[in-house]
Amino acid sequence: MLKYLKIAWRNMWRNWRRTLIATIAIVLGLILLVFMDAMIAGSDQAIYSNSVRLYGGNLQVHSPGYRAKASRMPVLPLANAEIVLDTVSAQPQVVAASMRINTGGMLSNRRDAFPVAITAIQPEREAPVSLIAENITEGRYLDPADEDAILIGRELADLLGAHVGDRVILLGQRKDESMRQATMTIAGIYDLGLGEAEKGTVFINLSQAQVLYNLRDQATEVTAMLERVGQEDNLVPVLQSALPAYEVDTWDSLRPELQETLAMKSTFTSIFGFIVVMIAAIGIFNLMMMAVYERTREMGVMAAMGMKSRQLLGLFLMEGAMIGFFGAVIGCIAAWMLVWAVADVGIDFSSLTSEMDETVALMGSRLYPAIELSKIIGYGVAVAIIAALATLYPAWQAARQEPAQALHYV
Amino acid sequence: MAIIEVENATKIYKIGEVETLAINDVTASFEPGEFAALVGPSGSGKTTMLQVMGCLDKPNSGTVKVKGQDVTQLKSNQRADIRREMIGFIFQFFALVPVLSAYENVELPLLLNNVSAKERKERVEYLLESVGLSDRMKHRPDQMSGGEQQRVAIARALAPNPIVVLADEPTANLDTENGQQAIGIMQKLNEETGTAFVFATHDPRVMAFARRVIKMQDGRIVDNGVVVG
Repeated sequence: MLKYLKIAWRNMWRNWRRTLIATIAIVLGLILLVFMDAMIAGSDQAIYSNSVRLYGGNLQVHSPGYRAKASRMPVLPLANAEIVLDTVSAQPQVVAASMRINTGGMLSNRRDAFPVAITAIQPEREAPVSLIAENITEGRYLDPADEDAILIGRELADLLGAHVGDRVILLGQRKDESMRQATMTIAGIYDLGLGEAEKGTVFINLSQAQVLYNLRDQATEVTAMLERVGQEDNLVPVLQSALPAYEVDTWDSLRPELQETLAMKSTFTSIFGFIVVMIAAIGIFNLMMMAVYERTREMGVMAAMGMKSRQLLGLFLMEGAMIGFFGAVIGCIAAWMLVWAVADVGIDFSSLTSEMDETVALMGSRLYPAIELSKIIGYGVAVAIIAALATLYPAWQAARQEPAQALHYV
Repeated sequence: MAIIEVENATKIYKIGEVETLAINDVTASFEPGEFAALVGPSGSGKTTMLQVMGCLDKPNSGTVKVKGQDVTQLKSNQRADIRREMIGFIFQFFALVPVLSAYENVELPLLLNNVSAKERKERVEYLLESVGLSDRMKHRPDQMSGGEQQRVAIARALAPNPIVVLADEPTANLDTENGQQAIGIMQKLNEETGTAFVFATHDPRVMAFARRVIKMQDGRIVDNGVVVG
């Protein structure tokens, strides 16, 4: 076996230029594959965490019946918001938790009127983790002491021709579905680069909303920010059993469209990855085909010495697998180094994101590729195996010839 | 008992629509320790005869027996076993494995025969010494002259201790001196080891070494030759 490996190894270097080209094809393919995966994973992570922050935390607790009507934003106060908040805050993974009131309404001034989702927040609790607080471009974030202050998005401000300090009229729905109107002052304008979100969501103080919508000391939602995206899966069942009278949801179960977009991207990655690996495999296939034609007579000689078909087949398979392995090792190292280098500085996407849809804009302006070493190795192993498989047909071609025929070959 | 018996063997090659009768109803028998030459003009069927004798090819009709066993009935793997254990080959085009050294080339058939490492070493060194290449063991084929390569090929053919070595124009690519040397070595080893040699040739100087000369023409044996000496 060792001797066969030795022969295969030496054969591999007989036409070193060709081997080098095949190896480069594998290496480049692998780098492309790993880097793309890392970029997509990085963008997913960015989209996840930004949308988590935008849409109000990794998970939310609502009153029973909310989930079924989530898209209509029903005003369903929590039976005991304080207890829910305490329970959620007590979880070790929770970085920040706060109460909210969500309701639907209309924002207008003399020029125009637009339907909005009204989110009433506890600014003192949300400010440290809020994406909105980070992206105030004009004016300031809410203060717990504000009484008639409102935060609106850039897009909405432009549509209304409104500025900080202007008065606007906010119409909001109460629990009994009657409407309540209030005059508010624009305290700040946030700019996320997300037109739809900016147009559709306004923020006021929780205490203000409690007064306006007859929800004294109440809230419709408790929202929690976790240390990491992905911790939801473990935490939801824990919270659900601790709070059996409430509905515990993650942001993505309430925002299925985002989840779908991410799933679609992952399908795209798989298809693209498959194509990349196939190109590398075709390189090896071609290389081994050439090798078989070149060495036909030599194989005839080996067959004359009594080497069996399967031994000849094995010799070629080993050679292909070695090239695949060799390329995979170099490719994995190179890809890892590239991801590692770029992960530090990120790639600037700011010129692109402003023109794109909501999901893409959620990535933020800088993308940081992220991939686990085990995944890189997984790709490497897959590529090496495919390389060996690509050798199968040429090797079989080599092995099935009659020795006399092979010996005639010049 | 004859080591190889060819009886009424016919081999037809079909290239496209054209059929070529390579050997036509040939019968010949070879005894242990023979040193025989198959002679005849190009296309007379010498190479095909050697390939049929050496289980590299099957005749379309007739039988080939190696040590009494009809090899025409065997599967390709079984024929490979016969070749590995009993038959050595020498080709016109030296035919060494280019990535292996002289030593490793001679060792290869022994590896295929699962010979122990110690025995392999002894045998390879003995054979390379016999062909006068003790100082060339580590050289690869492209570092050796044609004559040296062919001597390595002779050593390799003898490595598994075959009952017969079949040589197809072994001197055709060698100059006179190297050709004489190669055939001289074959003769010496034939005498020392008792291994039979059958070689196809149209080199009259080579024929002169043969103890039996079989003449072929148009795929037939026209003179089965008489063993001399």
